[in-house]
Amino acid sequence: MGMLRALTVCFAAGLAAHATTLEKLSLNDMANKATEVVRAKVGTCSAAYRGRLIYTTCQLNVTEFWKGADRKAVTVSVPGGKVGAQSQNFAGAPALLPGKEHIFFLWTGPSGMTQLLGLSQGLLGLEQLPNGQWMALRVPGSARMLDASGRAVRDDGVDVPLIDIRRTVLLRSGK
Amino acid sequence: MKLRALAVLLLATGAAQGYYHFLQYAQRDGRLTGLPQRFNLDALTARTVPFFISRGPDKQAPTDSLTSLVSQIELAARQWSDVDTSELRLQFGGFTDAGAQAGDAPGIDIVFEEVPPGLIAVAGPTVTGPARVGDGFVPVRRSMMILPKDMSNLPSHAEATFLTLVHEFGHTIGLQHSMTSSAMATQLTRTQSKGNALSADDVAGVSILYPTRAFRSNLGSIKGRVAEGGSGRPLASVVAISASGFAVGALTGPDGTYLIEGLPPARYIVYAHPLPPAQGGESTPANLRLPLDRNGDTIEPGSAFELLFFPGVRQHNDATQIPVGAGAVIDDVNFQVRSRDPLRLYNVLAYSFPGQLAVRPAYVNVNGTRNFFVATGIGLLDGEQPASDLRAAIVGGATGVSSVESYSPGFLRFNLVYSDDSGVGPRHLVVSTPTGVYVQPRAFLLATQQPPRIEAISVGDGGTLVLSGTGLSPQSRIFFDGAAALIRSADADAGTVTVEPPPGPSGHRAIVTAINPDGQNSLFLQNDAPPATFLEAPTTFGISISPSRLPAGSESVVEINGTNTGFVEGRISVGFGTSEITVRRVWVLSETRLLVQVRVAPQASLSPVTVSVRSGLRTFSAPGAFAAGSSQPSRLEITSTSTNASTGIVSGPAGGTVVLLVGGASGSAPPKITVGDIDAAVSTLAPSIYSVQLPAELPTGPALLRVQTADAESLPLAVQVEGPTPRILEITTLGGLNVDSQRPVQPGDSILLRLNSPVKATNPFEKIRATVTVAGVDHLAQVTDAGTVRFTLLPSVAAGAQPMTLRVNGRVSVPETLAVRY
Repeated sequence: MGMLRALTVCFAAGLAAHATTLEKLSLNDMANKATEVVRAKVGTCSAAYRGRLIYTTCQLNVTEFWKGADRKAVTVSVPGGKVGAQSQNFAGAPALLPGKEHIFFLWTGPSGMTQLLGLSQGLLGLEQLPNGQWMALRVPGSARMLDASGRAVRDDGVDVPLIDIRRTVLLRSGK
Repeated sequence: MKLRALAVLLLATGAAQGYYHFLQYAQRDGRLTGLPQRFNLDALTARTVPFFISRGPDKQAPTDSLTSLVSQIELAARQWSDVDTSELRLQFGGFTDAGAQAGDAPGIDIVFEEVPPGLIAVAGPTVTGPARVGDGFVPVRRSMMILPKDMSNLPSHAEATFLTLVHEFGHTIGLQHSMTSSAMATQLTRTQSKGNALSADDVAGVSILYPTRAFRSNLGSIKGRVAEGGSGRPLASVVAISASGFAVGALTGPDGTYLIEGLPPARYIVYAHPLPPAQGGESTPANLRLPLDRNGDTIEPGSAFELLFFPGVRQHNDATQIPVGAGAVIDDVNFQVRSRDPLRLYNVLAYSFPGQLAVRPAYVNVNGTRNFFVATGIGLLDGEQPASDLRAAIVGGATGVSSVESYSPGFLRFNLVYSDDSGVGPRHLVVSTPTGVYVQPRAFLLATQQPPRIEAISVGDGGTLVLSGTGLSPQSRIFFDGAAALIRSADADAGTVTVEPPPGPSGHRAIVTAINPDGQNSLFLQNDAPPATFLEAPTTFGISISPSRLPAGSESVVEINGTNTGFVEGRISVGFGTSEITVRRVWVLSETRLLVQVRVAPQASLSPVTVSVRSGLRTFSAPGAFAAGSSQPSRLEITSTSTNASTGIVSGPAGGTVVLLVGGASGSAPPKITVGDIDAAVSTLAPSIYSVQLPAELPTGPALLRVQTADAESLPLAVQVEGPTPRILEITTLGGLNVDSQRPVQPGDSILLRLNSPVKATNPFEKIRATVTVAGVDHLAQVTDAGTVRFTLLPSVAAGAQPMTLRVNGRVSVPETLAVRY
């Protein structure tokens, strides 16, 4: 039993997934894997087919640029949306609400499309404390998470001062 | 707390009010009704939705292969197809080009997309246009499942991958997340495994959307309302749990009402609780796509409230145990809740240690030495210690929690005590602190033995393989990747099982997994280094198809001939890569010859398609080998009422008659009809409607039916020539007493039927679906090893001499009479 206690609790057998099944990324992972990290407000959004999938693409009006080329605006695409009379629903895909401000960890793939890192993981809320300090928030996710070897792991969430996240990202982006 | 037990069926209530489907609310029959998104069964061939797999991932884990992955996808789909109380079937439809536009016909597209790091899979339905209020649902046009192009972190043999596929298939057919630790659960709380992939809640979820007639007559329901003051609480979760381990839930509708359907007969505790808080980056709690009201606006859940057990008590020991019978609807299970601070206690995840690694689902072996599980969860711990005044209890059996102590960082250890009647199966965990109560349904499972382990695989006689290890028995199921092996023999004492592996590509490396009846499997102990073997097969092979073209808007047969294909009945599926060309049935005529009845949609594209035949783990593809042709309006069209209820194939015994409607036939003389190239006796019942006697000399199996007039002819259609019509020879009680008017049975009695020939599967992989209909009420039935049929008489059957028929895989017996008393 002592041997068991000494083991990290890792998960050998499987669990069913979520609508969105996620691989857990640490803040450092996200900072490393993101091609762009911005603080931005959601602008206008529109949906269009890409192959057989509908993606909703939103313009982000950037207020701070932490990683990637410095631009005033970027776009991000999220699976699901409505095109004409056809709508695709992907439970778990975040709904980006125009006017809302977030920290976005973005990833642009070889196809040129920019998406959120790990969907909800790459989207941090912002909250200002009474003392004026800004916090970046993501409560522990309900989405199923796997580690890099395919094992299920816990999501511990994010709740850290914005300044710390900014520092982490800037350190890894060489800025 | 008056409960109204209504011994009525729910046939008229419409679908899915308040359940966890993708819902849109509309005014229907004067009341607000939730319309779920689902496939239209009437638009499907043989009630089957084909799923199409695009080219495959760019990258897989070392030693993994597309062959392995496709077999796991098929196995995951089969979990949903095998639900006895659901009409829906899922079937491999072929491979597609990911870039091609999908047609309008129903189907599920599995695509491998460029997904960002951190995202593994998403799935959901595509709907077109407004809700069909009159039909009570929103038709799904297509569904999508997105998997990553890079699957190197998702080895296809892993339980995580398999259960991800099961879960995502659930979304594609219209299910959202549940709160019952089921395959569709929203949290990491689910306790399903490869051997036990669906729970009663999953079965209820799919059966509500696609019910058989037996669903509502054999299972029960609970309904009521969750309110605060006079106002209903929308999107509250209400869950019914039984001591025997069932957990089925529903969400309340906009007015706070709920309806939990699909409850296996048992006594239930019912509780209401709020959805857990919305997650960061998401706009909805529990990751749900929230329902829409009649204006298309989102219906939002209310604030948090304290979990309550019915009838409004905080302790589960004080809760009313509600008996739910087959077909019964228990009404007025209402809750008055009070808003409170956000939840502080939720998402309890339990793990056990069958080996040196923690495993989920947590199985605790009551005969083992590790009589505990460890758990983590929001609000469970205060630092590294149990939260202040944390209490824990188990619902179900005679198992209890003797103590809770800290374990490792972030985890608590729950020590269990059992008694002789602790039983086995899922158990519910109730945890409470002064700030609230939380129930984790099916938190862990009790078992009486360790998971199986495969120690060695050796070559046996006649192409068999011998597996040796521990915990293997004749009841074990053995899988090579996602394909089942045929068990030839087993020696539990020696710990060996001899199997005939499924056919696979030559040199294919297949992961071998043993699954025991309790749901534990060998991956519990061997996930990191699962045993594997290499399969042998001829290296030259191929298929051809004839005819290579059928007209759009037709249904007919094609023959597939192969070289070194080794076709085996029960292991074959055929796909055309498009839902405009669908398969009604496949017959294996020999190891190298298939007969396939195909339906070509009227609007089918005329472009050539790839024909794919799956045989175990092998895929035989013939690119561009088939195409729809221009429609032929002058052709005779055959339809029939003499069809098998499951397949829609014209069926009848040799010497028996079938009724055909021949569109395009004119004149008073009946057309010439041949079956199996033998002239059939034909009589005219009405204009264009004919009674056709199947020639008595026809052997059992498929035969081609052709109709010819002076002006036109039909395309050949397959007729399934059956053996003698099943006849019930003997009706007895379980004790062996004959049932007749002198010794009638009553509701609740178990009854055995012996037929003129034992009920057996036609091949080792066929699933037998047996239903006994008494006085119009469908009863789910089981086939015994001896080939007799057993069922329990439902309370909705009235007293008297009642007509009874047995239906086995769509074949209906000669009617008999069952004497019923009260």
